[in-house]
Amino acid sequence: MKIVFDNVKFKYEEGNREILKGISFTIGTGEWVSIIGHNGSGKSTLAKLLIGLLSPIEGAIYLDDIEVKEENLYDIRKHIGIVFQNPDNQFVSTSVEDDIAFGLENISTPRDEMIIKVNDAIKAVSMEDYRYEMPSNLSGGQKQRVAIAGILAINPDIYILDEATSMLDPKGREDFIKIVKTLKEAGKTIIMITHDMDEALLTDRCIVLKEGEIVRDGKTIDVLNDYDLLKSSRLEMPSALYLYHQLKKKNYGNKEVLNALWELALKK
Amino acid sequence: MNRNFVLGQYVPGNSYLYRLDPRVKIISTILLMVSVFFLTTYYEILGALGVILLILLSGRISIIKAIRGLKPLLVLSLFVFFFQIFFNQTGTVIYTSELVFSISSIVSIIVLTFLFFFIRRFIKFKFILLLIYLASIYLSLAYLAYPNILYSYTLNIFDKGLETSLFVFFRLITVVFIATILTLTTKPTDLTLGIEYLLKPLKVFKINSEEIALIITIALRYIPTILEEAYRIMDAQASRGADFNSGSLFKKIKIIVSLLIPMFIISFERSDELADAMLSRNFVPGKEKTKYHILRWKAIDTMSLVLSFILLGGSICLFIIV
Repeated sequence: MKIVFDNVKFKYEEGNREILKGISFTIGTGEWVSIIGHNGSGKSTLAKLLIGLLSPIEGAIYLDDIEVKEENLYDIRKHIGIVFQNPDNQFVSTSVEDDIAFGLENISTPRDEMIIKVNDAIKAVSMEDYRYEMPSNLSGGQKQRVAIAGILAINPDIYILDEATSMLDPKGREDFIKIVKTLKEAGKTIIMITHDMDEALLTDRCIVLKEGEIVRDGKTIDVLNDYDLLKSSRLEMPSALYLYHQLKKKNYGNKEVLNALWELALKK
Repeated sequence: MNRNFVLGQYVPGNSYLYRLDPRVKIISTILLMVSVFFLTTYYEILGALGVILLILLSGRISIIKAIRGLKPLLVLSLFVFFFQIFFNQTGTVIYTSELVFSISSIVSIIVLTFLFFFIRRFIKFKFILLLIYLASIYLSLAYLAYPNILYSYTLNIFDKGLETSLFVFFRLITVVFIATILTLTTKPTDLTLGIEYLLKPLKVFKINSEEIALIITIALRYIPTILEEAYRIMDAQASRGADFNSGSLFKKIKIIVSLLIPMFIISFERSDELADAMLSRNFVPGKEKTKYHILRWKAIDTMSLVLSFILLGGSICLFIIV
């Protein structure tokens, strides 16, 4: 499904600062896009607008031909799944299988079908052993896996991951990214909102937000290579690229780096 | 403070009590409790207690776990027991004892009280300690009359008083046991599901039982999370010098307030985020939904329900005849 943001403006009723100042972009089916930006750049607002938790004060958002607005929300939300940042605040039920079933219950999936889908989703995130477990007995990473399983069960076309890995430990993060990669292979559209640049590097396309405006939209590798742009957007370069640029600054070619590494290795 | 909080008293197991429909369990619990209140003498209550113990045994529930369920009510039942013994003065006297207040007995009581509160902190079996404490107070009142008697009181225990106190004591225990059977063998989720079904008739008054069940579910689900949060804040404040365990009552209240304010703010943030998560998963309040868990009525459910009604009928008969 195609996502279209057409000159979207947003501000909270009580505030006078515009969070989004006229955002336009299009995301096609199967794209893997990262949206990066400093805190308060409006990137999470973007996600909430897309899933209709907030509505724009100007402009419009379309999913194919359906406009995202009050009367269409029930259908829109069948096509979009979102994983939020805090693993604890999106686990509704008292057990893993119940939580996965929550979304299916809401869209009135017949029970036989629901059982199959819940089983498949549990398997897809390798949580078979924790099926009846209470959320308080799960780690953050496991809870996030359950959250994504809840969406997998509904099988939407678009997945939004709103800083979904920011509260996880490295292992939890790795497991989570693995699942996201399988989604990508299945041809789903994935929007990853993040300020982890190494994670953004995995994506194909990158949109940079700064104070409610898009300052760059392009191929991830090009965007993240632009040191000045990232600096002015109060962001950091991915560690690998940063190292590369630092070496380049010192006029280290491949050969020199190799020699330096050998020296280091031999010293030990 | 106990930080290993486990939700509810549910103990995993696999007997017919576990397989019963939660609706039946809830209704039977109510029926059995009501029938206990129709019994009028202590031997009838003992009979009822026997029946309940039989149910416990047949359901392979360990008696020790059931007794543990009595814990919060032990002090209350003890109080009720002694209250009846001391103040119910009908029938014939079966035991008399002279209680005297003298300087030595008062000193002894003060020392015992200090000892009791001091030892209490380090000991596991607080209830047994309480019993020892009460017994030693009795002994010092009965035998320490030095140097002179300030005031004396004759304690008379009457047969009716003893009977009533046993009756009240066992009735309380029986009722708690009945409730324990329900909570030990039913998962909180099943309990909620049972409540949801049983409250369905409230639709007449425009009350949506599904929403009530959802509220209970979310409350149950977030109790451990919020407790964990509270401990984290307590630790954070303790590391900055707050003391939650000692100080005067006023000081304690002040410190609790410093805990409550962040808890409130965090909980409101949580509920906002949870609402967002639920909405994005297409939750629409009041909308017709399908259910993942369904309750199936089996033959054993009918049997249990009939049995509960028979027990209720039996106790009503006893009540009318006697």
